[in-house]
Amino acid sequence: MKRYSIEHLTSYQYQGSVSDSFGHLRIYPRTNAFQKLLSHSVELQPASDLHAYEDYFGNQVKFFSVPSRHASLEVIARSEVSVISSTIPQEVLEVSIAEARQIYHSRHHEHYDFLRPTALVPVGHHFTAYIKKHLSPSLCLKEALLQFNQYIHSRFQYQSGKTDVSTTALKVSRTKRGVCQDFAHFMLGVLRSAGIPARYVSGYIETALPEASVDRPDLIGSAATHAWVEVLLPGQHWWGLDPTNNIEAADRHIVIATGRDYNDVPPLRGTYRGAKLESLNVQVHVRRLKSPGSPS
Amino acid sequence: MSEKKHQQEFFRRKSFPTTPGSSPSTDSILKKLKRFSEKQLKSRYDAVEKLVRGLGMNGFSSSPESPNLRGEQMLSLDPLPHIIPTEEWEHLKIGLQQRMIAFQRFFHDIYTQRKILKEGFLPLDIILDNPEFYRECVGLFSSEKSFFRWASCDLAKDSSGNWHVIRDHFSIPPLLSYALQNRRTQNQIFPELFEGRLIQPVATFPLELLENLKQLVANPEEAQIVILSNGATESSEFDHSYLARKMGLPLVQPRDLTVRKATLHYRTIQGLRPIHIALRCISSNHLDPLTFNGIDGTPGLMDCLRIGNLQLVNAPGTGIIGHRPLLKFTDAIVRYYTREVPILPSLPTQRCKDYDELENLLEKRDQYYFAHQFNIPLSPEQISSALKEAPETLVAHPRISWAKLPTFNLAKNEIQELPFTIRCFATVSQNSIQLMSGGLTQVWKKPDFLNQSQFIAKDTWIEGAETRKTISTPLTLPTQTRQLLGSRLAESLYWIGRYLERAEATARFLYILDEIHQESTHQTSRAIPLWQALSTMTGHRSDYLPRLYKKDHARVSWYLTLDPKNSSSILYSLRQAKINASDLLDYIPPEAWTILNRLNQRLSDLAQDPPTESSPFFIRESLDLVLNQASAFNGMLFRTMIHDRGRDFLNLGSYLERSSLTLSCLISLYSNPQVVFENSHPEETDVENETLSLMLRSFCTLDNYRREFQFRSLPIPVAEFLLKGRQAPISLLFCFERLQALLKRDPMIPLQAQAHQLIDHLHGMDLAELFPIQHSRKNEELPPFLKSLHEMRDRLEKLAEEVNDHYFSHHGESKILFMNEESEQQNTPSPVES
Repeated sequence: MKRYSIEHLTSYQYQGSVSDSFGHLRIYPRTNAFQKLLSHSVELQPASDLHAYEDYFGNQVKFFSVPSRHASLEVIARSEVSVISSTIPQEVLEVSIAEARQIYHSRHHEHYDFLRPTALVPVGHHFTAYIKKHLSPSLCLKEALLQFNQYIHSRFQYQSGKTDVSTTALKVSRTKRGVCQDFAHFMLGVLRSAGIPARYVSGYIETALPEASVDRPDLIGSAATHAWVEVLLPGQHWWGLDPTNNIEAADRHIVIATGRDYNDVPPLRGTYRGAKLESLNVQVHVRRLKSPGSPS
Repeated sequence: MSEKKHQQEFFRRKSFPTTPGSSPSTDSILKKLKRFSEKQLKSRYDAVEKLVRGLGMNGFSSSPESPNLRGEQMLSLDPLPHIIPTEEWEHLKIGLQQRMIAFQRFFHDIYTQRKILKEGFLPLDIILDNPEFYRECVGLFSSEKSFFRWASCDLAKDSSGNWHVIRDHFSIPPLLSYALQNRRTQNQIFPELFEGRLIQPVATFPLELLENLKQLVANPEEAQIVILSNGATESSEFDHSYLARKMGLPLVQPRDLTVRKATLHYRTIQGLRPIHIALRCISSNHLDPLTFNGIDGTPGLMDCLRIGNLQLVNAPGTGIIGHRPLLKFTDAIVRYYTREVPILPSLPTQRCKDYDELENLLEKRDQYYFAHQFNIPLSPEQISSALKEAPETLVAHPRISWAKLPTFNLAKNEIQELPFTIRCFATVSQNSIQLMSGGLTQVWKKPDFLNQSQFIAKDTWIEGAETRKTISTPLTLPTQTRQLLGSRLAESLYWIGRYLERAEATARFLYILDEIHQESTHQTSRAIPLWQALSTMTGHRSDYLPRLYKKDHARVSWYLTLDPKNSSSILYSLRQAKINASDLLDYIPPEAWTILNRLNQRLSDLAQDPPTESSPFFIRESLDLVLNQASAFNGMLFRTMIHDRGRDFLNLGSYLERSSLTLSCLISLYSNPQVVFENSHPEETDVENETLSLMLRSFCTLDNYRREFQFRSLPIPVAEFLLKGRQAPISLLFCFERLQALLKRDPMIPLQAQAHQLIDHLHGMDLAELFPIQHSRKNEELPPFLKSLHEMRDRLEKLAEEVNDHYFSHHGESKILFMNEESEQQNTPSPVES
């Protein structure tokens, strides 16, 4: 088990005074079988009441409002989370893609949402070539997924500033470059087109190891929130794959929210009135804590 | 042909067969109509048309669920009512009640457990891919009764007398106003037809709906209810504003509302008023940009709903029903949720999405009518191309032989038999579903009515004494809410006042400056101080306009008059005034609106030709136009607009702008050593100060000054006059006193104290002490007179800002007034956020 302390700072500076800032925050790490939220606090500057609700996908959302005049808005979220690597029964991973698809079909209504196209992740013939090459029905599900994960990592170029939150998976498949979010969208498009349910994950990642080395280099995705993919395996297991880093999402990944694509899980969606935005600054610090009773 | 003979001819052309639409009842009405001469009928028809046109009812079946269909074509109302026999009506009533009960359960299931999907009774995609299925609404409502409180269904009757449901409206039932108004029109224009008949009334429906809504909250008498609509841009505006009037509720737009402390509030000039119930007349995804990832709506509205501080009727997400392919499954839905056979079956429907079905349909294409998935009327060509390119956007219905109703066609002088549909409305509450005893009968020119937008309306009659239960509790109208003036409205009036004042003042200065230019083209320096003043008054650096002027007189005149890109030009100001006025078409008399609109049009025409070397710019034409028409607009408003709180805001804008202009002008001229000579006591010189005279002329007040002081234009008396000339509309004292009087009408506000301070400030200025002005001082400190003017300007700006915060935006740090906390807030204003 690993324990992390996470500080997530978002700050908006405006060119003049603004008012009526309203927003939804999705910055609360989830608690699930492999991850536990130990403590959490959110602070807003200027201060605001927060109202929480759980969205359709089971994510925690908080609503804030700052009606009075202000020139900047700061959100500071602090969380402490414990994480263990997910354990997936080996036999589940050994099925072929064709078998997996049959199993999915029997519980179609439960994961229908994760097979359908969205605004950012279209589904269909655009991805046929990738499916033929990487996800043909006879392949072993585990091997195929890991190789496809590696394929994206090696053939797609990590480049920030070329894409934004509205870039579709289709465009990413053409340009083969982008950031974690784009790789996740692309991977989702191909998996869903192949009939494999998969969902988008927004979360944190521990980038730098306490003892970094040549074998275990630092991971990509540092300054802000990270994004990866969870694939549904037979038996209702969700398996995390991180194409940006060519690894399985294990105990260095901390899940905040899951959904169909980025639009379901933005860390902050808000509106305000008044002057233009001058700068947006997001900083995430993930620090590993010494687990009580176990050497880290 | 004699009139009598003509009349006989008129009715002989067509016999009246006893079709299912015709009945002994109808025949007796026809007999009555036969007694009218053609001329009489024609004049009654004209009266109908006049009434309908005056009301602004257009004859289109558009609704918020379908795209806008605005047109000049007005609704036509057939004088022959649609009479439904009582037994037949009872059948419809039971059938619709069964259907609505089933759909209450359907929505509840779909937005909670989804049993119907899990059990495989419906294909998943029909719900989960439905564009109006909002995952954001899942789990929002725990009880069936919450989903819709009013509803309507469209029914059509086939030639064997069987009724079919052709469309359901469980989200936003459209055109209720038409059903209600048709009865009134019919009654006003053809009162004879009602003689000796007992027809069930429809007029009480809006009040029944209101009572129904009030049941949603614990304290019905204090519930604040609004109708949430998109406003003047919607073709359904008539529908919504009619409903608002009949229910006595304010008609608001998303931007009229704001969220404070997780409660929805209506922004009014009397502060923020909490809203408990909103009747939703806009699509779900335009409610709240946070929840629905859009750009429209009131941010946080859905959070108020989640927390339970707001009731939204009908529930967002009920628009699923507007997706036509669902009609294929509605009979199955009724069976699933009621375990009964549907009393009123749905029109048989096939989805063109399914390839097998489509092939079959195309083979027997002439046996089907095709319709758009969102009920958008399509032409035959559009249908053909959609079948090829996007069949999934269509559904198919078998061609059915429809029953017909006799309908007058005055143009052709005959009676036609035409197919029809009827829209039935109901209020829905926990215990009962009450159908309005009547409805909107729509007569269509062609049997393929799903692809038509224009219809002829008929009043719909159910005969007999009313059988439904009457409301026993007395109806009370929330008149208090109605009297509130919405902040948006007040703000628009305020800005009209400011922009008009600005445009007029600029025009007057330009007029005088043009005169000077014509008189002394070679002596540009004469006009410079006045150009500097205008520069300051229009928000430029003081040397900006003088430099432009020296370079090119025509250019600078154009720039300030007609340049649409310059936000200080007269044209720009008038356009802004017009934009604000267009938001107030309910409020501003149409005659005044016409003047402003025409003025804008004519200036825009003049602005088509910017000056060139060969065609110089003649500024007089534009200025004359502005000065005449702006005065005409003001005069018309003064004479025709109701002098209520709204009017106050127009004046508030005018006085604030005027005092700000006067003050800027004073600051500019008295800062200029060339105007107010250094070290000179003005009374000692006997030379008239020409610049000050010109300035007074620009303010149209030189003669007033002369009458008051009987003296040359000299710095101290002119300053005295512009500051404290109580009788002169241009003076600061005049404006401040009126501002104070206006602000006094609002008892709760510290704003009037600020106006009072401004007046004190004026009285405290002793000009004898403040003059002469020493322009060059050490430390670049301002001379006391100018310093005092600057302070006054800061105070004025602060006042304007607080007017904005207090009445319009309600976001000031310490001035947020919650209506329910009035007494506390009055004395100890405290920030909302701790």
